[in-house]
Amino acid sequence: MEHETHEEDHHHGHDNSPEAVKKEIRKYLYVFYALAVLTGVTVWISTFHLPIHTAVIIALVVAATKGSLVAAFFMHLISERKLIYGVLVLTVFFFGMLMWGPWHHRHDAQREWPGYDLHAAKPGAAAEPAEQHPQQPAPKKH
Amino acid sequence: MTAHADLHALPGHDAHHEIEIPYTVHARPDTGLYNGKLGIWLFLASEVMLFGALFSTLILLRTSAPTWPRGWQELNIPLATLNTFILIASSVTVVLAWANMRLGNLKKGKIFLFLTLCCGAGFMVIKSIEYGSKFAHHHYPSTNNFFATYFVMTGLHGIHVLGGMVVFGYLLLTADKWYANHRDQFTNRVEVTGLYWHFVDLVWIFLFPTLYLL
Amino acid sequence: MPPKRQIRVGSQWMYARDAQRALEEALRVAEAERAEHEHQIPFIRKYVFSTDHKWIGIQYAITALTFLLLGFSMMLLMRFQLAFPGESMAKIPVIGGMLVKLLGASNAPGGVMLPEFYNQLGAMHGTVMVFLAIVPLAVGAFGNYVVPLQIGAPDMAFPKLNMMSYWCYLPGGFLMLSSFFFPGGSANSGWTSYPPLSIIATQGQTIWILGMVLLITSSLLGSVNFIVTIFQLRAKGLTFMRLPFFVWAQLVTSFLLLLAFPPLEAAAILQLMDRVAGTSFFMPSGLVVSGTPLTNAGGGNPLLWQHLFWFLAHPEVYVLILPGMGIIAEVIANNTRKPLWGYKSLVGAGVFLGFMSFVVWAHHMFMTGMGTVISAFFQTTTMIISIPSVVILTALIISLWGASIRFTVPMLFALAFLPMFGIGGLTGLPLGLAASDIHLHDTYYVIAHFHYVVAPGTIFAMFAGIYYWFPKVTGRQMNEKLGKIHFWFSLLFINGVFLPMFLQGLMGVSRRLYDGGAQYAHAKPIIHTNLLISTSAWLLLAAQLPFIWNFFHSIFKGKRVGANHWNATTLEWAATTSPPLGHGNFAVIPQVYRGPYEYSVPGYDAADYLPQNVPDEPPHPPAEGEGGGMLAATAVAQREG
Repeated sequence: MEHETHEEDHHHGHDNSPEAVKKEIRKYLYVFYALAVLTGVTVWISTFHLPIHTAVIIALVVAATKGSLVAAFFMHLISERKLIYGVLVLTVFFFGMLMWGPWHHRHDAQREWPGYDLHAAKPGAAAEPAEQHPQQPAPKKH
Repeated sequence: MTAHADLHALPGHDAHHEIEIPYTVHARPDTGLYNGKLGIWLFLASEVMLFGALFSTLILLRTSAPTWPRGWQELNIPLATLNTFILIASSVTVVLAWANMRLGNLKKGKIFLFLTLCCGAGFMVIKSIEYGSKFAHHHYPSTNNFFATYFVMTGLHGIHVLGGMVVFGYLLLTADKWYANHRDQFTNRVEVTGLYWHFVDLVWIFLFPTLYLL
Repeated sequence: MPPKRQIRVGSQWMYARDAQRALEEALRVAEAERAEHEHQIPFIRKYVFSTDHKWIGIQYAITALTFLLLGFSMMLLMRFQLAFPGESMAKIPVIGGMLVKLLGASNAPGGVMLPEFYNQLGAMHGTVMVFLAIVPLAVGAFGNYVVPLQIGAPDMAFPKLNMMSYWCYLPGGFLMLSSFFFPGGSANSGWTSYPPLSIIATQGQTIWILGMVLLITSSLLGSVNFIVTIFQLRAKGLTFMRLPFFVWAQLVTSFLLLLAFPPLEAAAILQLMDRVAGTSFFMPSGLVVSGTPLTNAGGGNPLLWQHLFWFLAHPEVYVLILPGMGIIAEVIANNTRKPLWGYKSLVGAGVFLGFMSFVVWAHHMFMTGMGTVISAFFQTTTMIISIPSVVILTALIISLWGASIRFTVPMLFALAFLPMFGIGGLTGLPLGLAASDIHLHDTYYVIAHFHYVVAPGTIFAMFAGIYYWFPKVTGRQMNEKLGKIHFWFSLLFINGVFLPMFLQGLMGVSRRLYDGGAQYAHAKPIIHTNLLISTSAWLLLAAQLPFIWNFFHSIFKGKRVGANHWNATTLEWAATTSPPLGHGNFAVIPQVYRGPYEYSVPGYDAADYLPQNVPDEPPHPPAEGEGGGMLAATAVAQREG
C-alpha cells in the first residue's frame, strides 16, 4: 500500500492549496481565450487566399504560438524538469532532420524526367527557382 | 472488526503483484519526476517523430507536385474550425479535471473528465460527417495525393483521439474506487492522460492550418 | 452459566447474528492472509502473462533464439540454391525428401527452388534476423533480465507494459511467419521493401507490414520502459558514472528505438495504404507492369519510402550492435580481473554514436541519384560516426593490456568479437564513401560487411552473454568443453561463410541474385566460392548443435554453482541465484558504494574483486545476502577448490 499523506500541500512540485490551484485555473482560462482568438485569426487570414509562401509562414507562426501556449501552460512545460527539456530538445533536432531529408528531393521530378514541367501553372503558387544539379551517371537502384 | 482493505476488489490492482515499484506516485528527488510523467513525455517524443514523418511526407509530395489544390477548394473549413474549438475546449476541461482532483473535488473532476470525453466524441462525429461528405463526392484516398495525405493524417489523428477517449472512459469508470484508496496515484494518471490529450490537441493545431488553410 | 441466547465463537460469547458477521470477517482475513503469504500466483499469471522482468526476459530469449534458428534455416536453404543453382534439394542426404515435401510444389517443384521462393527467403531471412531474433534477444531478453538487476531495482518501471511488449512481439512474429502460407508466399521485396516493387508484390507484403506494426509497437513500449527504469529506479549510490557499460548501452539503444522507429511505422501505414487503398504515396505516375499501365493516381515518390525506412534502419543497426558491445564490456572486465580502460570514453563514445546514428541514414541511398551536396553531407557524417566505434573497440582492446585473462567460454567469444567487429567496421568505410560505394553498392561486399558486424559481431556477443549469465538465471553452469567446441568451430565456419563474400563483391557480384552471379561473365573467376560459402554455412549449423544440447542439458543437469559464479562486481551478482519470480530481486535492497569494475583494487587483499554494493568498512562480519557474504563464501570456496 502506498504511503500517502493527503495533508500534503506540496505534491511533486505542485502547490495543491486551493488558492494556488484557483490561480492556475484562471491561467488556463486566459490561455483558452487566447487560443480561441488565435484560431479565429488564422481562419480569417486564410480567407484572403494569400500566395502559398506567405500563407505558410503566417499559418505556421500562428500555429507555433498556439502550440507553445498549449505546451507551456496546459502541459506545464514552462515549469518542467531538465530531463524532459533534454528529451524534447533531442526530439526537435531529429524532427528537423526528418523534415529536411525527404524535402530536398522536391526537384527530382524535373531533374529525372526531362520535359516534366514542375512549374506548370499551379493555382495560387509562386514559382520556385530550379536548383542546378550536375547530371550524375547514376545507374538506378533496382 | 477492523476493515481489511480488500485488495482483490481494487480495479486494475494485481493482487498477486506484490512488488512495489518506487516513484510511481511521488517524484524521485534527483530527476524531480514520477515514473508515469517521464514515461508519457518519452512516448510523446516518439509521437512527435510519428506525425513528423507524415508532415515530412506532405512537404515532399506537395513541393514536388505540379499541381496541388488549396485547402479551401476541397475541404470544409467551417466544420474543421468548429472541431478546432472543440478540441481546444477539451484541453481546458481535462486540465480543469486534474486541478479539481488535486483540490479534492472528485465529483467536479469527474464532470470535467466526462466533458472531455464528450468533446472527443463531438470531434469524431464532425470528422465522420466530413469524411462522409468526401466519400459522397467520390473523393477517396486513392483520388490523388492531396486526399491521400488528408485522409491518412486526419485518420491517424482520429485514431489517437479515439485512443484517448478509451482511456478517459476507463478513468471515469474506475475513478471512485481508485480515488478513495489511491488518490495521488489516480490524480497522476489523470495528469498523464491529460498530457497525452494535450498532445493530440497540439497535433491538430498544426494539422488544421496545414491541411485546410494553405 | 453461558449468557442467554448467545453462542460461543472462539474465545468470545456473542449473539447469533454477530457470530455470523464475525465468522465472515474471520474468513475474509484468513483468505487475504493466505493469498498474501502463500504467494499463489496462478500459472497463467506467473508464466504466460507474467509481469516479472526476469520471466519476460526468459520468454524473449526462448522465442528469439527459436526465431534465430528459423532465420538461419532460411539462409541455409538459400545457400543450397547458390551452391547448386537449379538443382533439386531431393539430393540432400537424410532430410532431402522430407524437405522437398515440406516446401511443396508452389515453392520448389521437383525440389528445385523457384526464384520467387528464393526472394521470399531472402526478404524473410533479413526481417526475421533483425526484428524477430537479434533485437528481441539483445534488448528484450538480455535487457529485460539484466538491467533491473544491474541497477538494483525490484523490477522494471512498468511491469504490465513490459508484459504487453512481449505479447505484441510474439503475435507479430507469428503473423510475419504465417505469410509463408498465403498464396504468393511471404514478403519478397527484400527486408527493405522498396516501392514500387513492394507495392505490386504479393499478399505476403501486406502481412509483413501488419507484422511490422506489431513489432514496432512492442519496441516502442519497451524503450519507454527501459529509459524510465534506468533514470528512475537506480539504487541508492548508483550515479550515472557508476553504471555498468551494459546499462549505458541499453539506455542509448532505447533512445534509438524510441525516436527512430516511429517514422518507419508511419511509412508502413503509407505503404499499406498504397497496397490496399490504392493511394500513390510511393508510386510515381506512368508505371507499367508487365505491359499493363497502372491505374493509380500517381505523383508519389519511391525515394520517400527510402528516406523514412532508412531513418529507422540506420539507427536500427546501432540497436543491433550496442547491447552486444555492452555484454562484451562486462565479460572483458570480469575476465581480465581489472577495470575497463577508458570507462568515460566508452560512455561518451556510446552516447555520441547514438546521436550520430540519426544523421547518417542516406549513405544507404548514394546510388539513388540524389544531389552531390546531400551525398557529401551524409558521407561526412558517416566518416565521423566511425570514430566512436573505434574509440569503443580501442578501449576494449587496451583493457586487455596487463590483464590476468581467464579464458572462459564467454571470454573466448568476447575476444573473438574484437577483431571480427573490427573487420566489419573497417569494411564499412568504403561503403560510406560515395565514390567507392558506386562500385560496391548492392554487391556481396555489402552483405559481407554487415554480416561481419552482426554475425561474428553481435551474435558472438549474444553467445558470450548466454554463457556468462546462464549461472545467474539457472543456478547452474554450462559445460565448458562443449562451449569451447561451439566457439572454435563457429569462429572458423562463420569466417568461411563471410570472408569470400568480400571478394565476390569486389569482383562485382550483385546481391539478391537467384543464381548467385552465374549469369555474369565478371563473376566467373569467383563463382566457385559459392560452394565454399554454402558448405561453411552448413558446417556452421553443425557447430551450433553442441550449443543447443549444452543449453538445454545444463538447465536440468548442469553443475550447480553459487550466486556469484564468476566473482563479478556488478549488482546482478548480489541477487540470489536464479532470483525467484514475483518476489522482488534482492533479499536486501543494495546500496552502491563504488564504480562497476573494481577488480584487483590496490590495497584490498581479501579478493581480486570488490562488488559495488559492499560497504567500505563493514561494521560487522558480512551477513548472508550481502555482497560481503558472497565474497567471504566464495573466497572460502575458492580456497577449498
